[in-house]
Amino acid sequence: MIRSFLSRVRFGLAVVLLAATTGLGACASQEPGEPWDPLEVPNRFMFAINRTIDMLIVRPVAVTYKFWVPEPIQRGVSNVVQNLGEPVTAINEVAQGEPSRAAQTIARFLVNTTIGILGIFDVAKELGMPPTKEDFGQTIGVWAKAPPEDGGPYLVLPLLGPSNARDAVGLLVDYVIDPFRILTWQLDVEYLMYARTGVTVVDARSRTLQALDDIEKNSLDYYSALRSAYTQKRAADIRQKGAPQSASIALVASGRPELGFAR
Amino acid sequence: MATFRRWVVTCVMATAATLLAAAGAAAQDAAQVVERMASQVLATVKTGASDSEREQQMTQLFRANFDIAAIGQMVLGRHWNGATPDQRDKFIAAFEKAEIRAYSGRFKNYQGQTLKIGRVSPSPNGASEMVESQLLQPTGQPIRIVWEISRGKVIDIAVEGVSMGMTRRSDFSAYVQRNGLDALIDELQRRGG
Repeated sequence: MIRSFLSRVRFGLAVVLLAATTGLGACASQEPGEPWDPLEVPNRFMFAINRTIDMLIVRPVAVTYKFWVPEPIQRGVSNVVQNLGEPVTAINEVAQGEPSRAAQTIARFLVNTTIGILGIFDVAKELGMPPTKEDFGQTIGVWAKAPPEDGGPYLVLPLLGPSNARDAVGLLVDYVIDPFRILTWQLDVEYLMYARTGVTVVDARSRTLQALDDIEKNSLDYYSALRSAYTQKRAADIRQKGAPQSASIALVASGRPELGFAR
Repeated sequence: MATFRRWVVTCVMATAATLLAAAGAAAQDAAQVVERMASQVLATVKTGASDSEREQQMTQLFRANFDIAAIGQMVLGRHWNGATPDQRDKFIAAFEKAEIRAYSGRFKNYQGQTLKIGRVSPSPNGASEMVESQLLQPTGQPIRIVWEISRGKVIDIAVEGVSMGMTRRSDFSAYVQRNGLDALIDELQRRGG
């Protein structure tokens, strides 16, 4: 099942590759070690649109959330979001050939959903079961013959931002296999899925404020800096499978006040 | 024959011991570089000095602990080779100033973070030492930072697997391709000034 899926992924990649090399091969003048970006022009266009939406809507909401909502509530929200993601992580851990880690993830999910009251409290962590996070993009990366820096052509997805062929396929697969999504569809409570998506976005953005602000402020070409950082971060996640991950590429030194507004 | 064999064994062991000791010393030195720097930074940020004072102290710290010439050359990538000596000097000076400005900004809001030094290992090509560490935060997850040390100085920092040097190189490379090296130097001068 997985093998056939992977071969299909590889076929899809080959098609994209072929299209990219035949159509846009002329402007390939990348430095060795740089992410491969044959679709740079449309990507930059999408990046600009995403950035505008972020500036006008997502970032202000995330900043407001981060500075006005009490810390314990933020932590609870973050835990709930994480808990709802555990089933997908467990499936991916199985797919990566890590059954014992998958078992721990399921145990975490069961403990936190019950004793942790729908995941508000990460009780499992206190019991010595630290969180993990695996997605299908990483699963492809683990099995692919290519080095994890090479996820196919770099892509900037509408609303979702930096990605590449590998991780975009991963996102789609994670969406399809997500037991929470299937359940909400079955029970006709799809609004729960939308609510979860909204909360996930605010939670994720509020925790990447300082890292992204830092990259934006200290780079001359934000698009290229972010492309590099994204590619490196994903490669590190694939190499370091199993290590507890922090939410974002956070940068040295933090500081809660002002930082969100410092531009 | 037996004496010869013993002599060979002794030689091999002595060589191995020397090499091991050298590697051990290098690892210890590398860890010490990071540790010392962290405590210096901590001392600086804790004093609550004014922005300009802090920047001055950061400049000293940066110059003492970072091999800015090596970092600059790495960061400019293939454009380094095409640069004139004058451009190189100007670039390094401007880059150093811009980096110092960036780092002093980051340490502005010190919140009681501490750095826990972890494992030290040689880099894949053996030319430097990688010092693993964790930045422990009062709230939230610790941040994983790896310091690359060569000849007692920092040549790269990787935060959560993201190398600052590589990110900077992508960034600068794109800028130079679009605007040229002189424009890059001007922009860095503007930012560091």
